Amino acid sequence: MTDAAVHPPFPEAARAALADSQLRHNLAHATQTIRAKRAEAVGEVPDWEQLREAGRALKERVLRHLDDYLLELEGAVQQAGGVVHWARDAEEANRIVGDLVLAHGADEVVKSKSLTTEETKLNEALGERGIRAWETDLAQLIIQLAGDAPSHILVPAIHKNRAEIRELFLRTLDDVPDDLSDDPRALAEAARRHLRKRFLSATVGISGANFAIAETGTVSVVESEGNGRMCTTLPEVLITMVGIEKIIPTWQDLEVFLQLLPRSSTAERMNPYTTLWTGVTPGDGPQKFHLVLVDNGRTNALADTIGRQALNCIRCSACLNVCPVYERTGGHAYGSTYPGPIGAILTPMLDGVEAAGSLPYASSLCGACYEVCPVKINIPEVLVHLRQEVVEHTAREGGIRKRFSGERAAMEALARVFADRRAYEAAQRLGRRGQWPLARHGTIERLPGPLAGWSAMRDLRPVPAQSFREWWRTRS
Amino acid sequence: MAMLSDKVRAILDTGAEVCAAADNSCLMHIGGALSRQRTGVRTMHLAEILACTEARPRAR
Repeated sequence: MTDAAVHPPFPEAARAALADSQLRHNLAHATQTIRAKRAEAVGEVPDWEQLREAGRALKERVLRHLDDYLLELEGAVQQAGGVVHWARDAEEANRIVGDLVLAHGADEVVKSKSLTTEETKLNEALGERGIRAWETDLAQLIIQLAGDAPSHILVPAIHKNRAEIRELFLRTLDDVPDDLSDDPRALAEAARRHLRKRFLSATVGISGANFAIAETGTVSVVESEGNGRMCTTLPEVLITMVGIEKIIPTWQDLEVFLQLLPRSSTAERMNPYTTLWTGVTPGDGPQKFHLVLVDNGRTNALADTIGRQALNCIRCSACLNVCPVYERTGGHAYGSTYPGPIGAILTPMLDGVEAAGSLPYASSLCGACYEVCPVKINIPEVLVHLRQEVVEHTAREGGIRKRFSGERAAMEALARVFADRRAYEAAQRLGRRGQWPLARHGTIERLPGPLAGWSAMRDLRPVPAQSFREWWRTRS
Repeated sequence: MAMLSDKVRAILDTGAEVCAAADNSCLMHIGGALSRQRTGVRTMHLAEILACTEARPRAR
């Protein structure tokens, strides 16, 4: 975490997205559809809750003994003929990959969709060294051609419609017919023809990984289009970049995650293309395999006993699709590789609260994300915990003004009042006398001074003549 | 605000006179919009409904 990217504040970024009614309509439709499908797919599994619990327990065991599992994985990969590299941060990871590509004499690579390489901004780093990286996932290709950023973990181009995509292909791909229609099948065919040439010419493939199995050194990519399998089998050299938290202990543990992941992410019973490879096999597939293990803030997250559960994430995106905030703002407003509820906790954990302090507030704490999470990450709990971190960080770094701010003083006073029955009732009696200038027709619609912002949308009930507690006492 | 306006629209679509909930923060938030837009829909806490009697139909 040498130079953490500073993310734009969420409320500012969200305003633009909210003003775009077409975007809001598209997002609402897309998220509601996938949400209903997920619920159906999950409902078919009688032991879903036990599966979630198993997924959580496995991930937590890995995090507790991450040092041992990492060494076990390294040994197993080496045993199978692979080479393991360790990267402290994004810069080091990108440098390692760039060095490897150049060492193999390549100036272009084919890539399968990988959030970790998005996180490290690998494509730009390779570009600076004269290496052209071709994204081969259809949506990821669209994003790359448009010079845009993904807005969803699973469907990165959720914010684009087919007319825009047709126009983009005509403008950026030199091998598409001039009469290209905006029929999805025709668009897919155009992308396919374009990509086929890249697959056959590239000598280096780059992938991320969904799982890395410590016991056997096996690495797995889970995808729907088959492009990931091409990237990991056709080129002579395969480089896989993976976050250190993606480890699972044993081969058998896949049975848990290969049930949890497809139903949660695409609402499918079984994932279409599940590619697994262990090191290199003479005469079959890539003859050189490099595994780059990336930290980039993960050990910092691990040190946070409440927040570390964010590292359980298997990137299914179920939390995005159920989130009322994501449904309205879309992914770009989060300003990070990981949007939605998981992004609101993972990004400040990886980059530090000083870089993404508004994200823990990008939530109504409704808890829908926690309910659908296949590995039971208690996202609301971590959000509240991170809000506390933000407040403490502001008090620490913001100078004397912030340390003795009115909000802080008010919160501390409230905490004392709510913690003690006598203080609470005394405050009620005081309020009854002090509120008369504010109350109109039985409500308080406007509060004075710094509280005006809060009451701009809310109505406050005045303290009643007889409180509930007073009434309760008269009953017996 | 975007979530609030969707909630208010959903409440108005039901044609209900009262919106009841068990969370005071939600009631203040939704109630604020209902009264500012002069919708005529009231908000009530679940406890208020439970405290209603024939003698005091609108306990406050």
